[in-house]
Amino acid sequence: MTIESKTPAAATGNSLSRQVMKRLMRNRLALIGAGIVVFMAICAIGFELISEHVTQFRFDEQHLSAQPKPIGGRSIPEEYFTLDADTRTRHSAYDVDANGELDRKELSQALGQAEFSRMDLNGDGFIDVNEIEEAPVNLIRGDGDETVVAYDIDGDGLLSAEEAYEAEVTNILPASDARFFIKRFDKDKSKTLSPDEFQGLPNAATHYFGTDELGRDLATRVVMGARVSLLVGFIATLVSFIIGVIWGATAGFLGGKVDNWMMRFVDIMYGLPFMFLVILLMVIFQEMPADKKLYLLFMALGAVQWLTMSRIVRGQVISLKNREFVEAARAMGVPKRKILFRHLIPNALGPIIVYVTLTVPAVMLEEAFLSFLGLGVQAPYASWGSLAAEGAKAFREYPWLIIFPGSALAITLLSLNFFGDGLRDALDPQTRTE
Amino acid sequence: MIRYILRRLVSSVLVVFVIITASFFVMKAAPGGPFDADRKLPDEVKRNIEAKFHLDKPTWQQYLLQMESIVIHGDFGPSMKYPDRTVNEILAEGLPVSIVLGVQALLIALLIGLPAGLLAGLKQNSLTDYTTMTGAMAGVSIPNFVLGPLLIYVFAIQLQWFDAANWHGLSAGLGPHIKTSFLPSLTLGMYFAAYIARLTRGGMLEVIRQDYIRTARAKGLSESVVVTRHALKGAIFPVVSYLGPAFAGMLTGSVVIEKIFNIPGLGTHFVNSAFNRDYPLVLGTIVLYSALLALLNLLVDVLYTVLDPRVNYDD
Repeated sequence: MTIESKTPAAATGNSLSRQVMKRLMRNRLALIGAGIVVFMAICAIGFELISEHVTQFRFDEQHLSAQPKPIGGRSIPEEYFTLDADTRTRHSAYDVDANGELDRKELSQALGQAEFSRMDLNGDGFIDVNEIEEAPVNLIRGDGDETVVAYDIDGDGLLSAEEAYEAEVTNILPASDARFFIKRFDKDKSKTLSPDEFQGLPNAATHYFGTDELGRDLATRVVMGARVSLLVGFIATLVSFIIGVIWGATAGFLGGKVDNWMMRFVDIMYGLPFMFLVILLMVIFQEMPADKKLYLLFMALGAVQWLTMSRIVRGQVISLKNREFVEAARAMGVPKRKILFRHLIPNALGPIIVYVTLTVPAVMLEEAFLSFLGLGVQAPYASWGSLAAEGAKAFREYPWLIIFPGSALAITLLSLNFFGDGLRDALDPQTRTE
Repeated sequence: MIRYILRRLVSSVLVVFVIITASFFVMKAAPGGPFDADRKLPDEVKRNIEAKFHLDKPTWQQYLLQMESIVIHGDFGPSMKYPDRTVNEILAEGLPVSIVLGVQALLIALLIGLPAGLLAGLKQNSLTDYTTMTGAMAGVSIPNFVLGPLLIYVFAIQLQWFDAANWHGLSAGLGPHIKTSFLPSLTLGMYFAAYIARLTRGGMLEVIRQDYIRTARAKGLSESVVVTRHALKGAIFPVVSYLGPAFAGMLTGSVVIEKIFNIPGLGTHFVNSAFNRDYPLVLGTIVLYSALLALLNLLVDVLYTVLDPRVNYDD
């Protein structure tokens, strides 16, 4: 008889897990929660791809303007240039003097055209005062009304496309930018862009969630935040899981005086205002480099959570250790350590997994709390907490700054909680009481 | 019982002592001192200042001096950032504010959480149950620093029912006090209200299936009597044992709330003093927090024995 052979408990454990799965599948909220968490995790993992192809901005790329651009505002990305098929085919249309090359003025008008038609709501080829009032803020410089009066050269109360160009209403690509682009993309140094060169030209990309006060694309930063927040949540939980399982299982398994002392220690730790010590720790090591501080954060948050974990594990181990299969293992002469890790811990896993699932949102909330105080994740990194903290400072003027990271955080926490709850109900149907 | 309370008090004192020691040495181990941030001082001036705060002595001597001052005189010394004020003064000013905020938040949490949980538990698997519990789930998932600005935006800026800042305190009269303190209390209490609702529902479901409830019903007692006289007490047990962690959570949460709503309480002082490396003030706030927490936990445990005579701490 080998010790390694499967115990009967392991065999029934298998069918139990199938039952649990079945019950979990019936819980729609838990499934939706799991789906959202998986989606967020995919976003977090695929951050680079999303940043390059979807949001088109880097997370620390700045496009400074007088104020944060609202949802739908546009900037020209530094790196992830996109080619718009429309722009490419329009080269000849913009080539007013038909010499096959676009000069600076032609280019300016070409790139402004799209914005002009966007503002020209009734499509009559003119922008009137009402349309200027309606235009997205980032398309207008100064006061819209004044712009019309000042640049309305023929005095008809309307701005034609030419007048608008003069007025730099279409400031998405003012003359200076056109000069810059010609410099950059004019490979043959003709000071004009040929159709080929024109293809290399970037289009402005949309800030789906607007920008923050430093002109950084909020959508990119929220995805970045997903990576950091989830990472902190999972790693800190892992830390607490490891400490908690070792501590709790040892105490429960050895019992007696050792158990008494170990749990007394946990009781005393419970009495400490732990978050305050963490705050103190984070303040004190504020000068640390941002990535090292991230490790400190994992440790500190894990250290807060392991207490409850160890209590749960201990309770489970105590209730299991006098069961027949453990006695049988002991009678067969299985060493203590092996009984602990092969028999007790695997069987105690159910409630532990539930607690782990519910610890992740708790840790994420704590990380957000620390970041809110300016003590968590440091620039240039961003977590949902630190983003929301930034947003909370100016939410009256720029509500989108808190709405997006805040809801991303809240939705993820909600999903994790629903999933954890569903898992608990599935594992322990008695508490649910049909 | 008395013996138990005494024993708990002794261990609380020990905990506070451990905290002072730990915080003291952590702060000493940290790079940067309280007088670094300012303009570079002439060496003699710096030496004089350091001598005033005993910073020129070896660390263990500083520790002993600090301990002596705290334990024997109950004096945390002068603040290093605000030299004209003592830490005791600052704490005495901040504590009542934080207590008022905490008590109001707790009241709100209980007033919302208990009825909601009872209702959901009594009407299990009904629409009421599902809506309440989904709401409660949202309540534990929305961070208070997101909820706070949201409430300010709706109730202070748009509707203008309440104020977003300018904590008045009770001395300004009840009306102005409620106007300025309702939003922060609600923001702080919301998470706990949601958690309490979940606990109460769970407790209710547990209790309502017990034999003694069936007996009570069989005796022909009306449903309202069964619920209020028999079930309620059992249902709120989990809530009572949650109160300890809830206090701890509220103390921590108040740090954020005080920051959002500009409230001059302990939390504000704690964070600021930690940033300023104002050692005496940090120690003062931490000691006060730990003592408060230990006291509240003790209260909860005593309350527990009162509610459930089967619990006996004496052995």
